[in-house]
Amino acid sequence: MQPSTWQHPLIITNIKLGYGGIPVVDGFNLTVQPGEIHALAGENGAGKTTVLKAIANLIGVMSGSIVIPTDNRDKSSRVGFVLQHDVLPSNMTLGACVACSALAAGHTSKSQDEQQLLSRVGLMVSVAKRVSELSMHQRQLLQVACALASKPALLLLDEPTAVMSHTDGLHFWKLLEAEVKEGLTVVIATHKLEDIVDYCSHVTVMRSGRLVLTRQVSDITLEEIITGMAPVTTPETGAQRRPDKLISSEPIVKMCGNGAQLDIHEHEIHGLAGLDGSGYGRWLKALALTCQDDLTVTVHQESIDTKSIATRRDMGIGYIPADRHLDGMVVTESLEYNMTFGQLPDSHFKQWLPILRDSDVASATAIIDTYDVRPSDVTRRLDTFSGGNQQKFLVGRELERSNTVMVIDQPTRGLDRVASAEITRKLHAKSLHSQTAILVYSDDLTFLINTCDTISVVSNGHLVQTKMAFEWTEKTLIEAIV
Amino acid sequence: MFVFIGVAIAGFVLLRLQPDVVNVAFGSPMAFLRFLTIATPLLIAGLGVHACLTTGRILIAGEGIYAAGGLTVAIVGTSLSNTPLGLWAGLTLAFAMGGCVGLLISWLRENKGVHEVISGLLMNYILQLLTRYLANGPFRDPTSDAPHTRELPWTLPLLYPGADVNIGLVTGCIMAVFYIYVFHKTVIGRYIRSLATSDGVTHVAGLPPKRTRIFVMVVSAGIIGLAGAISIGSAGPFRRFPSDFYGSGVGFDGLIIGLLAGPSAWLLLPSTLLIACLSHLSDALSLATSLPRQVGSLAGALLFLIAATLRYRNQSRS
Repeated sequence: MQPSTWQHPLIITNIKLGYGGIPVVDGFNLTVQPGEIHALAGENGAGKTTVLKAIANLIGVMSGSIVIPTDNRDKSSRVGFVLQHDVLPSNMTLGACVACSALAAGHTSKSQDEQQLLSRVGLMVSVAKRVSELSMHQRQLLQVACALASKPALLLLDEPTAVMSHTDGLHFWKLLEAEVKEGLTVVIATHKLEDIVDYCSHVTVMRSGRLVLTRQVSDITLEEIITGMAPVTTPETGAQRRPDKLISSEPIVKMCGNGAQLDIHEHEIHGLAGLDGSGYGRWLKALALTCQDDLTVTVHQESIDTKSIATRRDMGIGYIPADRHLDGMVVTESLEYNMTFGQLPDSHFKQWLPILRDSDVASATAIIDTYDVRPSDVTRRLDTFSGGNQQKFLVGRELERSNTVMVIDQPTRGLDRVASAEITRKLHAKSLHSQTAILVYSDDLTFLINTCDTISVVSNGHLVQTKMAFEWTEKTLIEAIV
Repeated sequence: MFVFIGVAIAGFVLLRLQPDVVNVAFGSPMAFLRFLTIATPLLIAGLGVHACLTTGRILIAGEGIYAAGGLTVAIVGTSLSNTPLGLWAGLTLAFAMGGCVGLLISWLRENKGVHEVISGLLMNYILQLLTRYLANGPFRDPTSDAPHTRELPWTLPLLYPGADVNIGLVTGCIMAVFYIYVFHKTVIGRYIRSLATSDGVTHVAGLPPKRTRIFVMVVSAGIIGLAGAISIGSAGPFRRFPSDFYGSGVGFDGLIIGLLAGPSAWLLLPSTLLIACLSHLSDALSLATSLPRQVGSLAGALLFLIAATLRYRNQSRS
């Protein structure tokens, strides 16, 4: 069966969208011509995901209309949706996921087609593998493969490259361009504004649920997009001035493995850079979670290799996981409810005492104010917040705890530039004022260079280079990583 | 909510058509106390099933565990008839017996990947045959023609003279209050409830998800075993373990109660009262009319289907 394509545009007229009766998007208009790669840009909470969900008919429209044209065979168009967080069943094989998507759209699928499709999206693994065995960025690629397997006329993408490395991102955009040449139309929400300028044909900028502008990308500059997203005076989003601080000579954390040593001192922010699959995760896990085979870790000169996770938390080792939905929070509960999670009380007795709701509400409110989480309602369910605002809340919750060591995995995932810069500032403040030693991994190299005091590059599980952050440039860092 | 409204309408229709039935069921203080006696094991069994459901596991072996708990107290109670400890030893061992079955099922689930529904169904079958064999064989009362164990020398202390309602009801109520407190008001309860959606949150905080699930299922199964012991230890028709005790339906009713209550422990009590009411009314119905009491079981089964469909439809939607 040939892929369905469009002859007419997608037209959104004056729509109002919301959750639980509270409007999030209001008076929004959009026209997407066939064959466009149309980007939606905006700060966290601007309403990009909500618009995508409405197009995909995952949420209803409070008022206004969305007209999706029929395809080239006058049948209703198939719409593929790649969510920011994957919803693939973890116990299914990759082949089964792709086959199910194809079957749901009325296509048959053979094993070699499935393998071919996986290779095309850049997922070089066997179809017999299970979803649970994939890393986050691989699961994202699998979602793309599943969406393409249904041969859609319109592909909706919500932050698809947020978890991808630079190389995977390049491959992804090339794939998208090839699909568009075949007649696919794409609407993509992304915070990577350079990608919009480089690869998209049109851009719509949103702010607080409203349309700011729609232009051809050739008629707009990056600065205009940024100004459209947040025209009011915003904090500096470029290179942050690293605070002057005295890093102690004696390290708090010593990690040894494969002939290399990683030391993290008081007040230090130590960055890890590496490709997905480079083994950086083992260094984070060895400190935050469980012992890794060939790595030994001491904190305050005490070996923690045999210590349980609970003991590590009691020792003041905090952890911000990369996957906020699976490991960080319960998305079906409110913000104040989620204040409980992340770390158990330091004594078993306290775990059985009643939760002080007022205290949780106060703490959640403080985080909302400090980290600019929007909307500022602590009783709202977490899944009604945008991905970026969920991330801000998670990072805020953990940074506000009094830990002496912090392990942070992808703190700026899904955050816009302003929010990323704010996280940098908060990390600087944390390391400066609380004697905390911080180990952070991010695939956002600009963030790493701006935020960290020292950066180590990981490849094949080994530390290959460690330098002061100011000695790195983005180019040298990419060279070292690759 | 729809289930409760549906049942209320059905009750209203029944009241209009057969006012005698309601009179028989609730028309006197003794009838009401009888209703409470029926509700007691249901409340305790419902608690056990619900605790497991909050961690994302289904304790389908409740019926077998209920029977095993009942048999344990019958054997221990009659074996230790000369000591005052017989009652408490019987209840404790019934709890332990249930816990052991729960441990086996959850260990298989968490460490070997054997689904708890499959192992639970098989365990039900094993416990049915085992309890029937023991009550009919080695522990059968030699002085009676009927297949049951010897009569217990004691009963659980009664709350109201002349009625079967006993301290099991108080125990159940205390357990329900404690359960609601733990699951809705404490940090540990929130972590346990988060297991229904993901293991990650508890794992990252340092609470091992597998061990927590095993612990909850052991306690849950222990509680259901205790419900069986309380039934057998009550005054009234039992005080001895009949070989056909398995099949009384309390374990399965516990499953309906757990499903009806959904994620909220607060709804346990109304769910229990609803199922107890259904059971009590079907008894009265069979007395007042020629309809068999299995009509109540049929209604219960329908409720189970509706509750299960609603619960898992909501889960798959989310």
